[in-house]
Amino acid sequence: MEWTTELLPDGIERVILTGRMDSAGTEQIDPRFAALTETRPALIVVDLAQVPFLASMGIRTLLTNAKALALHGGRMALAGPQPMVGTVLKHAGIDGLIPVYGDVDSACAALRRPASRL
Amino acid sequence: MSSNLSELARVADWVNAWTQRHRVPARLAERLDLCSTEVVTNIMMYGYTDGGLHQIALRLEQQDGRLAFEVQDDGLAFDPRQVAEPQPATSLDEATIGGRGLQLVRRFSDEWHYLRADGRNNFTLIFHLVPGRHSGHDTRRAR
Repeated sequence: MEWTTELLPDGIERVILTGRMDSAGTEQIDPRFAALTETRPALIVVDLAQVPFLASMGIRTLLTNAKALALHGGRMALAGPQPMVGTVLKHAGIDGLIPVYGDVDSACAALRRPASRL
Repeated sequence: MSSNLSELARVADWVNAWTQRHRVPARLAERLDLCSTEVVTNIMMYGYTDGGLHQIALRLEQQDGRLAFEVQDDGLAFDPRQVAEPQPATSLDEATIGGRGLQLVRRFSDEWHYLRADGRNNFTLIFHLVPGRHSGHDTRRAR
C-alpha cells in the first residue's frame, strides 16, 4: 500500500491510502499510521478513494488507529470508500464507530464540528 | 500453497485470474476475493502451532449456477461455523480490534460447508451466480 499525507488549510490531516488493504498492505502502512495517531491529538480524514479492497486486517488497522487517536483527544473520519469497501465497512459495523463520508470535504466539515455522541 | 502469510498475494492473484477467465460478474468476484482472503488468512494465523510450513489446498469450481471455493488444510480441527460473531459495539471505546474476518465471510458468501476428515479441515464456500439471489444479509448464524 502507499501512504501520502496532506495537511489541509484548517489543520486537518488528510491520509491518502492507495492499494489493497489486506495483511500485506497494512503491514506496509502500520508504522506510519501509528506514528501519526499515537503521538498527538489530531483530526484525521482517511481518504479511501484509491483503496479497491478492504479485508479484516485493514479494519483492524483503522480501529487500532482510531482508538489510539481518541485516547489523545483526536478524531478520525473515513472518506470516499469505493462501493464494495463501503459495504464491508457497513457489514463489519465500522460505520457506526468511525464515521464514513462520501468525500473528503464532507468528512472535513464533520470533523470541524465539535464532537457529539453517536 | 504453503501456510506462510506472504502467500496471500498468490491467493488473490489466482482467485482474480480465475474469476476473470470465467467472466464472473464483478460484484461476485469482489465477494470471492474478500472471502478467500479471509478464510486463508484465518487458517494461516490460527491453524498451526508448530511454526512449520504446511500445505493448504485451494479449489475453485463453477457449476449449475453456483461457484464453489474449497479450502483444505491439515491444521488444528477448526469449524468456522462455530465461531460466534463479535458483539456489536456502540462506541469506539468498547469495540474489539479483531475477530471480524469470519463475520465478513458469513455476510458475503451464500453457503458454508465444513467437514473434518483424515486429519484435514475441508471448508467450502458457495456463491450463487443467479443475479439478485444474494441479499447481502446474514444467512447463517453461529450458535
